[in-house]
Amino acid sequence: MSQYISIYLTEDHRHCDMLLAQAEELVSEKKFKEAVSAVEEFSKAMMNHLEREELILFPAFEERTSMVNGPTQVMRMEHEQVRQLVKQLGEAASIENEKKFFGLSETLLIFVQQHNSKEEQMLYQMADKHLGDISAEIVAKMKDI
Amino acid sequence: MNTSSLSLDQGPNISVPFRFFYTAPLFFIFFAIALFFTPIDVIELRFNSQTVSLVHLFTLGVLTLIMFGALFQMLPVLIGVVVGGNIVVVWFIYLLLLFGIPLFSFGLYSQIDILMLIGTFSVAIGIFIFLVNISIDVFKADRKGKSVPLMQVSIASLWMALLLGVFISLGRIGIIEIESYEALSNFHIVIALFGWAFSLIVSVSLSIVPMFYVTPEYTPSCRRAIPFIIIGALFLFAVLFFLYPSLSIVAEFVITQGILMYAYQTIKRLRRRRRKIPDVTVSYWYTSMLTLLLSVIFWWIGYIEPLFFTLSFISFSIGFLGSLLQGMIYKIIPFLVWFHLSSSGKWDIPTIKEIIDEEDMWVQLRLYQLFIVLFLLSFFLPLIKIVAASILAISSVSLLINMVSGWKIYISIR
Repeated sequence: MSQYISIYLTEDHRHCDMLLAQAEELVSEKKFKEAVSAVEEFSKAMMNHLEREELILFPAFEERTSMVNGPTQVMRMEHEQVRQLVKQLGEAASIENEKKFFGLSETLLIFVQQHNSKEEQMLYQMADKHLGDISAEIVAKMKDI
Repeated sequence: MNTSSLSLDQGPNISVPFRFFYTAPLFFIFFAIALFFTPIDVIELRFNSQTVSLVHLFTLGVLTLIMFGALFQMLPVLIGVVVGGNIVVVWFIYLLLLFGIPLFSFGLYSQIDILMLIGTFSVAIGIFIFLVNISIDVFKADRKGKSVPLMQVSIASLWMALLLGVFISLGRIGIIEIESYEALSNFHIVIALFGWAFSLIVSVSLSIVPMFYVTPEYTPSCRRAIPFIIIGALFLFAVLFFLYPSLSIVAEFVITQGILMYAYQTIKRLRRRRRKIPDVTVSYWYTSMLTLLLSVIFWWIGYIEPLFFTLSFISFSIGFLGSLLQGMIYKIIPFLVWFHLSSSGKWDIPTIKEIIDEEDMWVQLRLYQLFIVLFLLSFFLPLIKIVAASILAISSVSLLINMVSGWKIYISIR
């Protein structure tokens, strides 16, 4: 089960991508009411994902590797940027500002993709390697969020 | 495992990729001017000095500069390798290319050997330093990464293309003697275009198409098959080239399979993308894939009518590579401007879509598409070539203006 953490969190990334794409589709069809709900669903999924990492994975990783100011710290900083963008995206959807919405969704998507890529290519691989013996326990805890 | 890319410095300084990106449209403009003044019947002669000069003005001045800039920026994200950290080295590479490419091209165009010689060494040293800087890290990278195997093929091919290029250039000047100039040049062309450029594009595509457009991932079998075919084709081509040159058509057939598979899989994914919103860069990708397919068709028609070999080369380099790299620039520049501003703690900043005007990018895309069509037609209607070159000049100026608008935003807010 050494790949457990990376598989679970990578699938979680894809799930969030799909939800964002759905919200974009609804805005492009000018179904703003449904779009607001879709953004909320996306926002919830994204916040949960960030918490899974910040509350469960990162502390375990830092404890095991003693890398406190390393990759996890960079990821936390980028999470703050994600939170800010998601908040602005929700506001743009609720005031039905299509142009602003697509500007923010594009920004969020590109930013999140480069962030995800770094996590998937490196951090999750390192987590699989260092936390392999407790990966099932970590994934179970993350699923509870 | 390389963890340095996840340090607090998340990538190179913004000036590193931008320096290369913003210089490329200038070479595009020089290329358009040279094209304007070069008769079409001269361009048809593949090994004519003026044609070779034009080719290098484009392949080195436009394609290589953009690819170097993109590699400096994307290697940390794609394969976990940080390059471009040493600004002095980056400046050195940049200045050598900036100085060497026009000198080499002009020397070749006007057959002034000393300019060509200085240009050759300047460009060669620039590329050499670039390769020395990234090769060890690229070859040490974990091959499980989607982009890693083909990235390694690409870098190995650039080494080979560089050595061959210097050798051919010295032969052309008359410093060394080359018996089979045309055969070696053909080898250089295949290694540079297919080995270096195509492998790099495919390697990057496997990661960024699903990432940026939310498409289905390339299937694991596809991710294995495409590199396998490309590496196999290059190996076969090299073996046949040296041992059984008359059978090189077999390697060309394998290369065709690799190209078709990549184009088909990429178009399929773009058509099934979850993000259906209009995006100029998607249209750039389609233009790129369609001209790639066209280059394959032209290649095989070339066995009936040799002019089509030239059209295949144009369709591949100017159509496929040129379009795709411009599309990438329109994705990367707005992101970098936004990313560097937001990372410095500024939040009241334009979104990625507001950094370069969408309408202006569409206009520039249409101009470039028109140029490709007219340039290909000009081999049948030579008078059109002047119009094609003029449109390319306008398209290139427009590209530069669009890019500068992004830079202005960065400067005004930072």
